[in-house]
Amino acid sequence: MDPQVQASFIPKKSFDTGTARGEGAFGSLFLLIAIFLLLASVAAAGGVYAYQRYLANSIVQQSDSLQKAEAAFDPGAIQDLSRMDSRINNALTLLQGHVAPSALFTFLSTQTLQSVQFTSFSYELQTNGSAKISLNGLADSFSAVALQSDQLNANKLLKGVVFSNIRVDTNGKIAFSVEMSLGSASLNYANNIGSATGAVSKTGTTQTPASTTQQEQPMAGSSVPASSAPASTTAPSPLTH
Amino acid sequence: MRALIPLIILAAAIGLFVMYTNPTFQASKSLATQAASYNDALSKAQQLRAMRDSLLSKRNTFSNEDVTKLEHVLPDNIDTIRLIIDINNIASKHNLSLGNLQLGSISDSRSTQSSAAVGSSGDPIGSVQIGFTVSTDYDTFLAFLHDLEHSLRIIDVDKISFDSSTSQTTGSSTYTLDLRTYWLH
Repeated sequence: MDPQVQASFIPKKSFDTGTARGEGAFGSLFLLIAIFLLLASVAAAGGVYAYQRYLANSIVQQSDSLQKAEAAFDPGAIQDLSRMDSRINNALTLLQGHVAPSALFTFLSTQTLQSVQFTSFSYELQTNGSAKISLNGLADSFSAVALQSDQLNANKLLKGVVFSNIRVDTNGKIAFSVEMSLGSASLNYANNIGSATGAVSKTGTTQTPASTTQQEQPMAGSSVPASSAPASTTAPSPLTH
Repeated sequence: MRALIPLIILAAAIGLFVMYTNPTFQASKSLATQAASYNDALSKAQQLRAMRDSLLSKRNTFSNEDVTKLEHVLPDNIDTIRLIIDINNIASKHNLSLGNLQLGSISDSRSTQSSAAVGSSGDPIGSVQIGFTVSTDYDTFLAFLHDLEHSLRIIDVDKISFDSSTSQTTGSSTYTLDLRTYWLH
């Protein structure tokens, strides 16, 4: 055997051709991916373009529909309805606060003693709906004034009843002044409407007021006919307990 | 050179996305929001139309007479001459004549006494005060007052004052009244 000859199965040279083939495959794969991404990008661009066109057309159509709907509303009819609604609601609000002071006179007629005469009357509606009432009167005696004071103070509808300026006048009568306030509920038209015709009839005669155990006479003294004096209890006044 | 082709294609894909697709998509988002708001508006328009039809059908159930009455209850404007005529008509029913007629402050609100508040109240209702005197007997005055309270036009009596001392001799007193009536702005 030749000692210089060494038998070996390990190749002395590298496989250059195999490496080149691997790099070529990698390059092809990279190209394939790049083409795929380009196609995907083109497809996405086309989709976005179509979506944008669709939205733009949709907005134009909806805008047209909205304009037609707005025109179909008939602004005049809407304004008419709105005005009607405002009128009804505000009229209702006003009616809820509407006052009926005529019931006050019937009320006073039930609260005035026969021995007392009121000579002047002043009523002023306050912003809270209550009424401030000022009266000047004449009584037969001091005890009549005291009884009248008791009568008015006993009524829970009246607040702040103050008698003042009590003196003996030239005719020997006891003159006095009285101030009081009456709550808004007592004057309210809605509260009185059921008995409004009972308080004062359309013919102008006062009718029988509320129940009372005392003898009374209506205010304004002799100017009120005897028929208007409280006598029976058939038509209770809303202003009395 | 051959190795550059995939890079060029990749750069083209990225460039297309960055330069066109993404900006267009972002713009489409705002368009989509706008389209959604239009859609919502159309939906509400349909609901409003249904409500309007319902209200119109209710409105049509009101008779013209009732609508006219309602316009008298709370008129659109304050026609002071018409107001005085209305009150005078009520007085005439009781053979009364109005004296010392005074047109008070016209207010932009239902209760404000001062005309300085005109235009600043925001109240949908305006009011006007009117004062006058009537000379009559007690019962006629009560009947007149009753008619004022029950008039179709809402009239609130703000003040009443009288002195019965003269009625002892003449049978009648002079009654001073301040009234307030209203209109819808």
